Amino acid sequence: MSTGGTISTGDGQVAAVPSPSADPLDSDLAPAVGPSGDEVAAATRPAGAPLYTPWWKVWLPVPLILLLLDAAFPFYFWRIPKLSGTSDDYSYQFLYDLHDLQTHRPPGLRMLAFGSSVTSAFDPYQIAGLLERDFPDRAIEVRRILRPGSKPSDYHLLWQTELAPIRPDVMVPVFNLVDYINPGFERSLKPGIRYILPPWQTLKARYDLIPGFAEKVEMVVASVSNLYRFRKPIRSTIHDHAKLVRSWWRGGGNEPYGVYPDGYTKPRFGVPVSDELEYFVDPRWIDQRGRARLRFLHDGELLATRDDAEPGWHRISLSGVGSGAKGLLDVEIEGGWSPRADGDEDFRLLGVRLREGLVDPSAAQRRPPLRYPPVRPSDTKQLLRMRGARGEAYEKIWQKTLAADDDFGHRFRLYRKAKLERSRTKFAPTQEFDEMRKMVREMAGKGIRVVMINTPENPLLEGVVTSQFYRDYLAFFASIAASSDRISFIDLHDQLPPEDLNDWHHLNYVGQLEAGRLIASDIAPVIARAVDDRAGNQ
Amino acid sequence: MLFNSVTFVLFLPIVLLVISASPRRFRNGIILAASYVFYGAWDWRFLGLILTSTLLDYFSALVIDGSDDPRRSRFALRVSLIGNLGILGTFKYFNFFVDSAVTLIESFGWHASRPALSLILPVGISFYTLQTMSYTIDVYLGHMRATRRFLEFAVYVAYFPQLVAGPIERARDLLPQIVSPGKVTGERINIGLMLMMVGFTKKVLIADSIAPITAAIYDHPEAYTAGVLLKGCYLYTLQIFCDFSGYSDIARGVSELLGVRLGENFRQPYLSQSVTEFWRRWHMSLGSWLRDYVYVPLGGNRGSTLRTYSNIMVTWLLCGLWHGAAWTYVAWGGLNGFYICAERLSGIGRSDPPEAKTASQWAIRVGRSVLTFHLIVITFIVFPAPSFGNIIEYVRGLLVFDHLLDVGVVPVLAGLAVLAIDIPQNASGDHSVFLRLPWWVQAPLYATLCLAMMLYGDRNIPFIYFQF
Repeated sequence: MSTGGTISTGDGQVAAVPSPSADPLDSDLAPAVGPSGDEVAAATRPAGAPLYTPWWKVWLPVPLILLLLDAAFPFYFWRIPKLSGTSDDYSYQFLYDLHDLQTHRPPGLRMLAFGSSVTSAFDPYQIAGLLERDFPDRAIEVRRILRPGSKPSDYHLLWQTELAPIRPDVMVPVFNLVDYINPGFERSLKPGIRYILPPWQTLKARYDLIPGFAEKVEMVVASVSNLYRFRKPIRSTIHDHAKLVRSWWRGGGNEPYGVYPDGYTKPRFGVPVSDELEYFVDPRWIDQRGRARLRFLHDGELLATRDDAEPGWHRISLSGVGSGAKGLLDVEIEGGWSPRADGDEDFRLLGVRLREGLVDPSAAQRRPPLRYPPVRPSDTKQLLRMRGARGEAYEKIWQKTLAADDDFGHRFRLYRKAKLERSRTKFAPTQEFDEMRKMVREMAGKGIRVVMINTPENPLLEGVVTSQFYRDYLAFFASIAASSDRISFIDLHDQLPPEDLNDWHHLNYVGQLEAGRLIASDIAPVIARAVDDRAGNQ
Repeated sequence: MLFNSVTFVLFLPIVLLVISASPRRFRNGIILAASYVFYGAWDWRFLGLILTSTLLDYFSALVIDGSDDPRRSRFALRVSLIGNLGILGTFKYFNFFVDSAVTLIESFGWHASRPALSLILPVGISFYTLQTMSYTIDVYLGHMRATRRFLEFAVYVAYFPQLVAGPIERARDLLPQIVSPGKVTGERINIGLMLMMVGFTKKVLIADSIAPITAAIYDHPEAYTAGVLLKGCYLYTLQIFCDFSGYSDIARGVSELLGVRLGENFRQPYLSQSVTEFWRRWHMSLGSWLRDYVYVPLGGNRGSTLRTYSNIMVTWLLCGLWHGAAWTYVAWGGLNGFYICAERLSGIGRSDPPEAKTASQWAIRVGRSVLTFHLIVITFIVFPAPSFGNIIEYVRGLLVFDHLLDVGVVPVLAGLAVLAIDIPQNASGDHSVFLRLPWWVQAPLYATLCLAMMLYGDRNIPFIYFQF
């Protein structure tokens, strides 16, 4: 133990280092006769040591408290509302949705779509609205679980461990060629995928794919500790709630937001309170999404909910709050509609239209305030990476994005290269293809209706969909569908123009709305058969 | 193996359990095996270096100790120094010196090729090299006798709690404790766990939370306003303290659980009244090593005034070079040397100000602490910079004095967190002062901290000093 801490190198003070063993000793075991551990401890005992609390009183409760928190985790954590949207933390959203599916049984049919990021082509709120129109007397729960970077093999593992008990009537695997590029490609980019899977089963099934001893140890710990396994969602919820507290502290949220000067609103908007509100539901909204569901809140308290299946002007009386009340009337709309999907040049993601817009144009740009309990996540995000351009302007931005030296540009090029390389190979239904086939057959074998959806490819990626590989790829899924009357295949690979995609395979919200309509119309017959299945079982 | 990893959290209890369940005579063998596992977890090939260093100094010291012939002793010392410095030079400084030589040659207009060795810098090489060298030098100087106990000596070199980032222990302090370790009493468990708790809190909760912010700012100083740059250097100053002193605290805590008390390495340095005092409180084991094995052999303050200042500067320039194979580290050492020379010249660093009793004395103390802190902050603009161009960009950006409010509240919050640990320790002179709190305050507090570490500990950011 160094005892020379009071003398610095640079101060010029040269003093001998006081040390009990500094004297030369004549034994060949000289260091052994210096101060022992006990002697050093006695000589350097902290002055306050006699006042210390006994060690067991301090330290034994620590693991006990942690054990208690760990064991009780399932009883409190999932009750904490998730404040942020899907894309703020995909893993948390995935686990949150999965837990909700596992713990709640719908009264009617349950349809579950699942897959990687391309599953955003399936907007459950839109599909639910459109199916509700086709099956007005049937309660159909449409759900989606999505995790970017996940593969058919991940879902196969999840199906075998955690998905089967939720007893869905219709399963909808949503995929794209990108999910089959090769086993290591996405995994090396997104090792976080394993955090959404059950750790012990994942460790057993993927032992060779999990790199490093430390990562394997982490999986073992995660399999015995809820707090450790779900540390990322816990972190997310802490951060989200901290943001909420901060927004409260700053007293924000009293400024109108989400209303354009021409009266159109965003899917979330806030206006000064009044006794009644008049709003216009555009016919295209009903056409795209089947219904308009609006929730009206004041000060975080739900005043009313409206489901409008008919377009046109609607009026709601809000007698609960007087016109003299302070604060905002917050309106949340499930999803939204896009004029451009019907050919308009306006590409805003809209909600309803008010009689008059707000004079302050900055209201349209203002972000809605955080609120507790949170808004139910609505999945259609207003994302137009190509800024709504069309034709030549679109291609120009596309080329610029493709050449950009940033993270997106890098991924953009990487995916193009990977897809092109894959399409030049000979098709063989191994690895992820095999996992998908097995999973779909297992699902069908349990009496579940399965609808496989192949999402659109960007027509700008020439040479992929015209390749023999891609023809064989489509034929592979068609052959799976042909093997059982419980399995269907919807192929959307050539259904959308380039302007409806953000990159090679991810749809923007305009594309999502369009794909949703196509999916809903193709899936309706399957739902009819599932309804018959239910009736037959009963 | 990182202290802040799940692997270590499992590794330590296993080692402690095996030691407590085994006969005492196997203790050092188990610690040595654990130390090699700990170190080999980075790369098993590094074990060859540590074994070489162990054998070299073990036998050199025996030759020195057993010889009456000064030339033979001197030869053995040279073999040890050349061997140790050769390993350090090859793995840490080869490319640096070659690059510098080539740059110098090219500045004369001549052409020179750059033979580069693609070597990985073995973790902690600078620390254990100094530690083993000090043993041989001490034996040569007659401060201690050589040991024949190879196992204990091997444990001294590879002792896992302090192997990769110190404290740099002297053989005369550590070896006897390895030979005769203390009993692991309740008090030791208390102090050990307390030190680990403080260390992990500093590292995982403070330093690692700051790290992404400082990395972004220091990488591209040209992209930020003066306010953000100010935030960056304040935060880095807090980050490096929490990172490095956190490591030392954990090392000391772990060692307590093994019945061995390591030396204090940090004593609330940011409360210092001068840069000279700061260096008595910061990385104390390196300071005393440089004093005893560089400054004093150079002549210390025994020569002329000019010679003393030149000795101080040489010591500090070497201190900078020890930290890293780059001229920016040398400049950092030089800046510290300059501060210390200036304080010596003005008489500031020679004595501490009197105990503060009146308000004005308190004001002076606080003022001096704040001034010293800011002088240190300046050195930490230089320390992590990848190049001189980067330093110039940083300083130029600061001197614009624009958007100073961009500094934000994060440095204040981080500073308050550090002070919440430092002030009670400083006021009581007791590193484990928190153990005096009632148990019902401590237990929930530590459980909360453990939970926070469990949630945030998977960032696995290596300790800054591992690179040295």
